[in-house]
Amino acid sequence: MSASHENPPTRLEGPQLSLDTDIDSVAWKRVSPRYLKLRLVQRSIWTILCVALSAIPLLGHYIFHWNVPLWLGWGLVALMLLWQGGLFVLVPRQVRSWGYSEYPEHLLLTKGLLTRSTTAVPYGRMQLVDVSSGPLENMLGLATVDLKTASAGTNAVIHGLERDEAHRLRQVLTLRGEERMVAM
Amino acid sequence: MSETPAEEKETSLNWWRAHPLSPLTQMWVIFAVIAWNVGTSVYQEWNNGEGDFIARVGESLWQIIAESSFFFKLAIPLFLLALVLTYWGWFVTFFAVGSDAVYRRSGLLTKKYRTVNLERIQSIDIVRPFLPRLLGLSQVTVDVADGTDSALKIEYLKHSVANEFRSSLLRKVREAKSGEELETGAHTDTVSDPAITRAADPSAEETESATTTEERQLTRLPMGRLAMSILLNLKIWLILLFTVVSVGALVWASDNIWGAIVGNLAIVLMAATTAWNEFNQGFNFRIFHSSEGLKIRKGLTNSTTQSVPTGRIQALEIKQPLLWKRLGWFTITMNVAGYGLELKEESLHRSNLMLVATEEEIKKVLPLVVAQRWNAQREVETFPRVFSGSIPDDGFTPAPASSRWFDPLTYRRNGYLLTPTFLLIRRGLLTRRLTVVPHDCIQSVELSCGPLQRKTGLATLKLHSVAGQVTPQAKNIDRDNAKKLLALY
Repeated sequence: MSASHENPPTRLEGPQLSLDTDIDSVAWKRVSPRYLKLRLVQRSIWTILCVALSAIPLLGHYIFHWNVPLWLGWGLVALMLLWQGGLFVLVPRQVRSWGYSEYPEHLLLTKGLLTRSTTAVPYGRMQLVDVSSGPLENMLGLATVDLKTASAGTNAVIHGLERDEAHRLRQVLTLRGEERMVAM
Repeated sequence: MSETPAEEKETSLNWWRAHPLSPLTQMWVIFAVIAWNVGTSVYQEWNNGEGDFIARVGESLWQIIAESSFFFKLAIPLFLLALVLTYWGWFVTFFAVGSDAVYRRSGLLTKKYRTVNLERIQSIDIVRPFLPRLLGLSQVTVDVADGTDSALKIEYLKHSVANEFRSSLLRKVREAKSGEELETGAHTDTVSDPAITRAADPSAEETESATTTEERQLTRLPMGRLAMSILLNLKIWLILLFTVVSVGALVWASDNIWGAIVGNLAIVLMAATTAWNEFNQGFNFRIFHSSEGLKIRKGLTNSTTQSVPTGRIQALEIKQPLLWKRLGWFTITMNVAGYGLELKEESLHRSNLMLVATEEEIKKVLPLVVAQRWNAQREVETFPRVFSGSIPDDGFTPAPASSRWFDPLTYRRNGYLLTPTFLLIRRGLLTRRLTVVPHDCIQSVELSCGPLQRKTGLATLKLHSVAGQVTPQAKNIDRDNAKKLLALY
């Protein structure tokens, strides 16, 4: 360590950044419109469950003569309906907000309505790729691609891909990951 | 449609299943219950009674079922169902080894397809749990770097088959990796033979042994400084203050002094234990340098030696609690690939690179930490200087003025700086922090932008590092600048 007595530089120059990835002008690939159907079905099931739960005091009042004020029973149901309705209306917009794009060096993902987030995963960081499809997805011919890096923080999941597209993406990711692999 | 080379390879894959006995090992408890009942019946009927032996055993078993509780009866169809499901699961789980990846196809209802690149594989181990071992079966686990879980578990194969599979896969991994330049560090070795390298793993805590290599002591933490640093912890004072106030209030309200004291004793004891643990763990914290690398020795009642795995450090954080500021002390924690998988307590202590260090000591140690991997010795020497944020032209990109609405106290200090090797993030006012992430250790980058942030042109940048004490992120920085960092690695 002969250099340790010299003064360290006051200003450090960083690497040049590639400016070609302007996330505001990315042509996002959006998820399949059939995925919207799936989400709506899932949402409906939840809605029915939640509304049924909120109706318990009301039913108790009518059937078992519980001592629940009527306004409270109806109010609960109305509140739940309002809330669930709001969520239901948001679903299409939510699904439309998801997108992904294969850039030369990164896989880019975007999501979120209120809090918009964009994630860039360098292909070389990929540790493994999962393709999965649940029973509903399977019926609709859809699949989910999940890309994993060494960090648990990486949330690179793409829902609602056509099954062929999912496997194409998996192969592309595997290939590019191999070419650009960076050691840990 | 023309097929890509990868597709061609995949269609010719040779898919196979795990050993047919393996599902049984998952239900050993149930089998133990059955074996116990059958065994006792056989034993009883063997000893007493006449007539057809088999029929009597059957009768006695039937009696056990008939006399059993409702839940036991319910358990029988459930067991059969579980048996069918596990066998179904086994039936639809396939493995295949291609020329450049290992594949697993599985799932009853949810179909899963996992691809693990051969080049990514860090180790292939054979595990022999007790029950599969009785059946002559072995588990093969394939690990990639710092996955939170094994990348692939093959449960189970016949032991000889497992051995064969492991060595053939090792060969393939080595072939796949031979194309590239050899990486330095423990991981390539792990592939060559996990058993041997595990013993020589530099991260493993060694027992105190007589080393022949010459060691040079770089820093030593004086006892006084350690004690002082613990006492200067704001939390301890807050706890004591709370205790004194509550004891006082109780005495004033009820003049039951002893009740108040006993009630608060637990809190005081807890604080004292924490302080004692910190003192015990950090006692005589020394850093040594030898030809083998850096080593940390520490501990009062239980002295440990820890090699600093400089090759696997993924992020650093220099921290300064409020009360240390006048004394110019810092603490440095690190994210190390693999530590995240350990017990929380253990990884917490092992993530301390420097416990209570002065600027001089940091300048001595940090260059040695980075020397092996990056040519960044000069860069790290500037860290303590840029830490304070008071140098006007230190190159940091400050958080924009609009961020004062979000961080009224800290926005002047918040900012980031790109150096040739690192991304430095400075933040915090009460506890001041400087997060250091080498570009080549960032796994992925996430830029998020809430509704209020969008109005003010701000964004939050998260850099995903391996699991550990350090979570690198820059909150409320200029969105246009942050956009450029997204493509950085």
